[in-house]
Amino acid sequence: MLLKELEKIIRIVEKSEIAELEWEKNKERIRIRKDNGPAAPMNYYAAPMQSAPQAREAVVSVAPAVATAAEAAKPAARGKEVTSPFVGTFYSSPSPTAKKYCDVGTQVKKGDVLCIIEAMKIMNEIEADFPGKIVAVLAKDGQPVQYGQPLFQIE
Amino acid sequence: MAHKIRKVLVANRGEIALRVIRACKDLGLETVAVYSQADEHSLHVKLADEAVCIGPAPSKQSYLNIPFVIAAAEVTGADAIHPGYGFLSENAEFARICRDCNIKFIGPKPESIALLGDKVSARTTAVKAGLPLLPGTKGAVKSLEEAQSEANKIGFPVILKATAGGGGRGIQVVHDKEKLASSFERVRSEAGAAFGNADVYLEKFCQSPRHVEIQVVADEHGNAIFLGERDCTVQRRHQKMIEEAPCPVISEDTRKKMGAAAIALVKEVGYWNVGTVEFLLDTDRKSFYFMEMNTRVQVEHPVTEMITGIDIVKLQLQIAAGEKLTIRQEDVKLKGHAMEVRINAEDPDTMKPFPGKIEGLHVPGGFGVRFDSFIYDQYTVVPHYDSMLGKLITHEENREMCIKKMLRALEELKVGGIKVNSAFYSKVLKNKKFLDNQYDTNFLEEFLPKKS
Repeated sequence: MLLKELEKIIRIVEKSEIAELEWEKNKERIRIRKDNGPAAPMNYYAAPMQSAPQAREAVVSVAPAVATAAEAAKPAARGKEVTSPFVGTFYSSPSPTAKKYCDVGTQVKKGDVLCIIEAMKIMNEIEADFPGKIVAVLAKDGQPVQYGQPLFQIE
Repeated sequence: MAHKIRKVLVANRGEIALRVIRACKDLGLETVAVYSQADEHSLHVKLADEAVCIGPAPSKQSYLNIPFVIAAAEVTGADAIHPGYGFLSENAEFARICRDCNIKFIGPKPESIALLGDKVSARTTAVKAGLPLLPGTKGAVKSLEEAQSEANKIGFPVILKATAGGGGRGIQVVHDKEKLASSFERVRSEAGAAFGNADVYLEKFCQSPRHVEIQVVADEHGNAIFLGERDCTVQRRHQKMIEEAPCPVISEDTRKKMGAAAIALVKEVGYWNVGTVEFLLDTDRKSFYFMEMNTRVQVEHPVTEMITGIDIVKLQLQIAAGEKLTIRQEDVKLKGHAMEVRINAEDPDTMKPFPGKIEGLHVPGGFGVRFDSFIYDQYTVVPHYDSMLGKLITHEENREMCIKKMLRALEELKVGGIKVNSAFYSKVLKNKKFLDNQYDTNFLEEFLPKKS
């Protein structure tokens, strides 16, 4: 990505309500996150202090190379997200020694078990609502998850 | 602080969740907030040490979702749950499940909640404890002679009520014994025609009742005290709007009697933690009758805190941790007068809810002014739950000064972007009947929007 394009994106994000922007194209990815940190310290020489919501700091982290820019887009998502319908602990396999239910690259059919969310000693099997290929596993084995938390991305 | 509680999950939202989180932090306890997807930006979520989303907006799928609340406690390692008020706070089943899962429910034991939550068993228990109940016949009155003898026993005025009645039908107040015969026949025929059941029962009629409640606190070792009373007479369709402490129309003697009655009920039940015993105060401002007991912390607890200087939510946590009550009854002193109004997101005239984004907020302050609220500038008030944004409380030397301070604080409160009902209170607080203590539970009727 040319520096000019990157600057353009940063300015657009800064001015907008977007808190975090992730852009991926041809294996190149950038992520820009806005840090609504504490209000700027009182500085008698600076311009009048703006109210908290307008105090902003763009934090840019650039991973591998960067993609060619167009206008600021919504976070690029591949396929659909599977979110947790339960509160509990995420397990990727039926038992510590067993094989994982699925992983990145696995083709799943509708009704296939993707993982277990355990709560109050009850193992809830999470099934795929639709067929596709797992392109991302978004939770770690043994991780506590909340309602609505993204677990998988299926294309 | 005893080591029995380390991390508290607050199973609630809005201002009470914030209140509990603050008390926990003051005691060095860790806090976990649970929230629905609609409450993602709520203040209690931001202030807690940890937060777990437990469902979509509808309360049934989130704040009332017992398995998810318990699961949230599990994954965060919370060892106690504070239920706040409303939601699961008076759900005996939930308290039982907490106990079974080895999570300390911050409140009374499940058996107390079940016993006092049922109207019939609560009244039976109150009678056992020697509390006065509103005099009345237990069942239908079978004849005019019976009606006459019961009415003489109770004393006029009495009220005749159809047992199958509702909607204000089949009700007749009888002021003197001469009118009883004709009223009795009339209500019976009206009831028979309207509900197919002519059965009528009799009750003492309180001409000008007031709602007075006693705040009780008990530890898990059998010690119990009461922290004075609150007067919550100003109600709109049985919803409290203005609360004050102490009650401006009772004597110290009546206060002591009410307090003793409340403690008797607490001891009869073996109740622990905090609770409130509600009474109906009769027109003579001396006779009182047991109505019900609320087995939780109440919305209006701040007015008691202001006049006693005692942190009630902190007490809840300490009692739950097994600590003994160190405050003795003789230590409880009521100082000055406190008042609370409930600030709702609603149109002050039509009283219709008015959610939306808050653009500009100025909160009143100063000595003796307290605003318990979860709103902040740029926060979007969501429509899914009740419209209460917070409580404005004032404390002063006496009632007159307390009202003046509340009027001043209401003027200072500015919530831009949405509508709030502060103007409604400004009107009510200037009303002569309110200022002269000449009001009862029917007082707000004249302030309600006229039905078209």
